[in-house]
Amino acid sequence: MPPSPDADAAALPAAGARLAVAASMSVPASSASKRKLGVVFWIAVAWICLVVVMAVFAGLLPIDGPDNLSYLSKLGSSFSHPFGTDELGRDLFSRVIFGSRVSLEVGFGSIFLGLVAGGFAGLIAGYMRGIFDAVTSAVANVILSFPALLLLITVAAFWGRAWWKITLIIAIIATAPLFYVVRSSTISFAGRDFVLAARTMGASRWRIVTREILPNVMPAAISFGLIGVAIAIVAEGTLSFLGLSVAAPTPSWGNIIAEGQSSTAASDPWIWIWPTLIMFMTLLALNIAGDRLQRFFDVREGRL
Amino acid sequence: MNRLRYVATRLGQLVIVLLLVSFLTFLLVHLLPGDPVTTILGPAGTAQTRALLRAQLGLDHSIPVGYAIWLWHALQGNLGQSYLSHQTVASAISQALPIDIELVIISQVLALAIAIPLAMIAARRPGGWLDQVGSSVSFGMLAIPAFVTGVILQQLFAVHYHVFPATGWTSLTSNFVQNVRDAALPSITVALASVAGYMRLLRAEMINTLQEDFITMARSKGLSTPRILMRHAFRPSTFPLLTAAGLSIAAVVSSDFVVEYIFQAPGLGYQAINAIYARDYLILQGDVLVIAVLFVVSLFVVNMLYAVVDPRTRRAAVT
Amino acid sequence: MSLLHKAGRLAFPDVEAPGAPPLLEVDDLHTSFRTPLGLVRAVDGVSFTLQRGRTMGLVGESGSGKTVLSRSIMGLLPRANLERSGRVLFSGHDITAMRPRELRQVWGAHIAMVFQDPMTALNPVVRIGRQITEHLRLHLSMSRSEARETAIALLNSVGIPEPRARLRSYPFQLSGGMRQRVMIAIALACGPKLLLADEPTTGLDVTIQAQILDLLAAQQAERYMAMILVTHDLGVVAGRADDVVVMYAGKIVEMGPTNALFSDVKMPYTEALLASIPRLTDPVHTRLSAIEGRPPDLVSPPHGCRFAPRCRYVQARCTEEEPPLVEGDTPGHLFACWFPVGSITTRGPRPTTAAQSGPSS
Ligand SMILES: Nc1ncnc2c1ncn2[C@@H]1O[C@H](COP(=O)(O)OP(=O)(O)O)[C@@H](O)[C@H]1O
Ligand SMILES: [Mg+2]
Repeated sequence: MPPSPDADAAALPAAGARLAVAASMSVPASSASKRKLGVVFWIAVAWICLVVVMAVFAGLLPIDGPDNLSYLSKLGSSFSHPFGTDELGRDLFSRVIFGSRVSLEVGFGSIFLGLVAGGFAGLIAGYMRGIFDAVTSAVANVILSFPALLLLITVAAFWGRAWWKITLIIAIIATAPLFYVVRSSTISFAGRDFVLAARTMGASRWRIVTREILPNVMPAAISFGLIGVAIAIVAEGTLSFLGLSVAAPTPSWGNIIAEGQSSTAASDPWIWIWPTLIMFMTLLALNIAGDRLQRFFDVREGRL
Repeated sequence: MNRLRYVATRLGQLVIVLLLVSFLTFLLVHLLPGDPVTTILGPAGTAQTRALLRAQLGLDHSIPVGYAIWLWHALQGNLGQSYLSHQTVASAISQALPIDIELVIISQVLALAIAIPLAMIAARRPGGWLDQVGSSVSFGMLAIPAFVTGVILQQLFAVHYHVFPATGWTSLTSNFVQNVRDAALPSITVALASVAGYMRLLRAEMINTLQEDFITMARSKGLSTPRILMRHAFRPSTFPLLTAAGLSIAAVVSSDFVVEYIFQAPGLGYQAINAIYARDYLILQGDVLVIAVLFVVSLFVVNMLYAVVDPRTRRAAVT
Repeated sequence: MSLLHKAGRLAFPDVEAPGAPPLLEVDDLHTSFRTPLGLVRAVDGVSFTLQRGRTMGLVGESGSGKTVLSRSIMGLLPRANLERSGRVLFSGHDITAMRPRELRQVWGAHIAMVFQDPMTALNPVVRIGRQITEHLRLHLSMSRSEARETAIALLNSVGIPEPRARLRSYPFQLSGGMRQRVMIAIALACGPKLLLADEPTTGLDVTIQAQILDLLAAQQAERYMAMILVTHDLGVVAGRADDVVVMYAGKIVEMGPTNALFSDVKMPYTEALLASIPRLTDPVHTRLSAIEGRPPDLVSPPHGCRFAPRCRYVQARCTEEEPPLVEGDTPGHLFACWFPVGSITTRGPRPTTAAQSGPSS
């Protein structure tokens, strides 16, 4: 028997650590802020939507291609180049928007996959318990025992840098903490009265899991998922920054920042400040949205 | 005897995870497209170097046998030799490791030194303006990746103001002052990445603890507020912090690549990145193995420490 | 204010000079909490006097405001959502007017408190030795070894075997009764003049309850210390208190010397409490067999007498006019009732005395 309730939480490494921290954020700060998402949440959601829409429709926007070299280099902000141009004379606004595609694809894609896989396993493990639970929990624990970012960088280095490969690796890593979130949430709901009631009325297991438990588990899964997206974007950004994600000239936030801060550009800090700012706002928005949702649904996942 | 069993279980888990980690590290080379030896050496390698590399990568046997031989060598400290620099992997690691250890210690001490007082101030009046400012700032800090912090600090304090060197490393033993100056920016970067997490965790825990009866009891004894915060509220609140510190240290070891890369501090992470660029896969494999083992072991140590330090968890042993 | 001594310490005359003020004088004390639902009037105009060395039993159902009253006396409530008025004079000094720094000199040194649940009130991660010695060193400026020896003597006097070894124990290593003894030792450490014991035995087994109460009585006599013994059980108070104060919904409804009060109960609420004293034959967890109905809402209490909705002698006047707390035939015996027990015949059923299970505190 583990002598402490946190023994399992203690087993959560890097990726889980952020989630564990995120969980501790939702301590009831003031009862007044309960049951209200608040204007800050909606601003955050609006920003996320704006970034996503811009990324999706980047090709249709009246902006230059991200590789168009036809301008003077290092121009300041102007009407036609809101963020100015970079060293090679490419429009920075366009690059930041096109660059967001990689971040968002990897971020949302990996967490989506992780949620589907981890969530599915977590639902079944949490409801059925027994041997399936024991095995999946052990696997998740092993995944969590790996240094996540190191694994990511190494596999990318050995295996290749296509965005879908990176998405897949992050998805595998993210499956474990998301599995734990869904599993523990499922366990807590499986014992509630309404589930017992459905059981006594002869509902099938499938029906109970999909109709009774799943809707209740969703808030925890989604709110942790949003924070997970932020973590995945940081992971991809770090890879990009190191030049180990998508290859140039495809822009991504990480590699624009890396190029911008190289010594020749040191006198023109906006080249890295703009993408940094946009990435910061997006990460902040994701964290805020996840955190507010947790508070709103009163998700208390302190122990994961 | 519950505790013995607990320790034994954990030790068993540790061994299993270590085996898995080392096996995956061994397998990495198989991910290389085509024939790993050709990929690494290129077409130029002589038959002799090719054979040597095959043996070092464990490719001249089936996977299980190759792994067993490789592991046996690894346990003896023989991780092969870089075919580029001809330095043994073990000596490369022993050069780099102290730098990581120094960075981890300085940065985590710094992070805790910043986070603990801030969390205590915030927890004294939850919802007060100090708390709100602190919460907002820490929330913002969570949204700044380490590589951004590193870039900002470097541009500000090295490029713009020349307070600290932008890059480079001097070893602790050769020139202490220069070492501290070199370590400053990378340590602060890593510390800032840890501060927000520590702060939020300790604040939440302190707020819970301050609601406890034993805090009212301590007040009823006439103790001063700082003393109550330190003696009575802080310690019971630190056990989650201890876990977080362990996680954080593990995370730092495995994620300070980017920080070491920005500031060119030649620790394991920097070495690994350069090995990737140079396709020096044996060095990379060695670094990965060492970092992963450090990571797994530090998690284990935290778990054990947690069970030992919190007297409440000893209850199981008594009753 | 001449409160501060030269050395920055508060000065309380210990001698019982002829003109000395009583040890504790509570004067029209009101304590309310601002909550989203409105102002909770937990203590609503309480006055009484306690002399040195005496024991006062403070009795009432759970939720009647006993804990809030005893913490208000100490000034120990968190101030965030608090509203209070009235005075608490301790040896003539007004506690309610004291600044935090002055309060801390009173707490532990002159007034001490024993809490209900020794498991939660002792710090689980601090050794017992430190929990006993830290305020000894603070208030009495003892050296480490002096404090240690004093702590051993204290643990000995509260009946803890092997006190020297126990100093190094953590609370969870002791049984419930032992923990409560430790808490009493902590409270007694600096030789307080007033001990507030807030349901000191509620969480304990019946046999241990008696031991703890006897211990408190013995210590109190030995130290010439006054005590407010808070309980929901009139039976606890019967043989042990000099005076009894009965509270209901934040107000005193009956008070007087114990013998006078028990021999001639005036207030129907007190009568109902008496009827619900747990007997030794009852199972351990049947505590206060409930009086029918619930204690009133403290945000908007009923008009007139607050007990009227549950009172079996209730008359029209009871719901219209609030009865004042007045002295009856026996000097010192006060009660707030228009129709004291015995003045009219019973109407309606007797209050339920059968055990309606469930703890009431
Ligand atoms: N901090 C607080 N905020 C709001 N209401 C409180 C607070 N503390 C106590 N109360 C209310 O005051 C009333 C009296 O409580 P208490 O003194 O604990 O009763 P007792 O000790 O007699 O059981 C209860 O109704 C309780 O809900
Ligand atoms: Mg009480």
